[in-house]
Amino acid sequence: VKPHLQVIAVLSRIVPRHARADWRQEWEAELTYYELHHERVRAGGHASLTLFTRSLGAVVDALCLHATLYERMWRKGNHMSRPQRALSLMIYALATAGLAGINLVWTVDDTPLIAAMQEHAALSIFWHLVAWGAIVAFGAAAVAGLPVLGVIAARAWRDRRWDTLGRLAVPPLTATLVLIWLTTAFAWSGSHWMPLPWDIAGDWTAPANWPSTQTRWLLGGVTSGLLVTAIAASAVSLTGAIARSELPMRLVAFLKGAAAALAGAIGLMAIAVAAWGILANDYASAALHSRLGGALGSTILVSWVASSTLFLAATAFAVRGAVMSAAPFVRD
Amino acid sequence: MTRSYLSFSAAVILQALASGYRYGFDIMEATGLPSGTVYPALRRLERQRFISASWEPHHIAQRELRPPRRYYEVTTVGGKALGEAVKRYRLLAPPHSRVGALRPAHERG
Repeated sequence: VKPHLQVIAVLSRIVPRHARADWRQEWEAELTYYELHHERVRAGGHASLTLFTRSLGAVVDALCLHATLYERMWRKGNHMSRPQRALSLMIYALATAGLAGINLVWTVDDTPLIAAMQEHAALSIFWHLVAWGAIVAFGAAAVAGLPVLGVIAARAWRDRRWDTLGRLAVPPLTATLVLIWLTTAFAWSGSHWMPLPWDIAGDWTAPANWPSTQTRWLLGGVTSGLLVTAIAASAVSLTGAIARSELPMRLVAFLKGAAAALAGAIGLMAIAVAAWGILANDYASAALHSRLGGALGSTILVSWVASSTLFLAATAFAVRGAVMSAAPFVRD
Repeated sequence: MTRSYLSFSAAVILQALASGYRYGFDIMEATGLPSGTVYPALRRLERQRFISASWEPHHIAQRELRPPRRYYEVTTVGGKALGEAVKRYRLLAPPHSRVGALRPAHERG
């Protein structure tokens, strides 16, 4: 099989299934026709290269088909109004930033970077900016989101809408589940070791009363999975509850300000985390690069990159939410 | 139905189709736009019903031992949208129909 057709065959796997056959045929036909009829390709020595580069253009096409599909699902499938979408984006932003923050705090905890922050004021300032950003972000989300969710819950209870109530119950239930898991595993280890993904392996010697490395990997891995699933499930469930409910318009008015504050705070956190990492590279390079303090035995650097990426994604969600909430509140 | 305004590249693609270029790669050649712009724009125009797509007759493709190509043509709605776009993006209009101010400086004298 020719390389350009191989590229199309591989790329067709990422095209949404309903459009896959047509998409593949169209690209194969275009490339084959081009190969047969284009004099420059037939005569030139770079025929294969030209066709190969042309076939690579299909990547954007394939990805755009996905974007279109999600956009349609988002716009039509959910039937959500602008405030509903804005609130949902705020929830996703908060969940992503929460995950990034938890990872960063536990990564840095109990490492030489704490001492470096006491020595270097700039490092400490950026760390505090992250903390202040977190307070503002959660505060803004609580001020705008909690009353709205409270009204949704009250109306769902009044109308006996169990599907909405079930969705609203997911965050506290998953949080309880994670806590039960942590306390049970902690008790099982004789109250010596908490199964946290950041305390599995590293460049330190584990105390003798901790479980074996293999057990730590297993239990820590379960905690990682539970944590990510709990946060993702909570965000998806809350969005589902919001999509199924009429939002109280009087409370929705708070959204504009809260969404802007959330976007600002999360954006600030993203910048502060990036700056903190760059400074940590200058002031405590050895600790950042070689110390295995990150999640699942990774270096602090890898864990910092993961948190920075998540913060960037959270900023994108938050800014989109702020822009959406700034538009006039009409059902579209 | 919401009124959709065409972007400049979408209008150029629509104009290429109206001028008789009917396949994705032909449009790329005619407009100089990359496939990453042309194909997503074609999908969008088709979704907005400004163009319609159909497959080339089998016997033509069979003769050349290749799969049939997908060709596009401008619909009536698309033709109207193109007309509006040409009014907005005057560079798309034929040179003789442009008003003086939009002619290049050397032509205005």
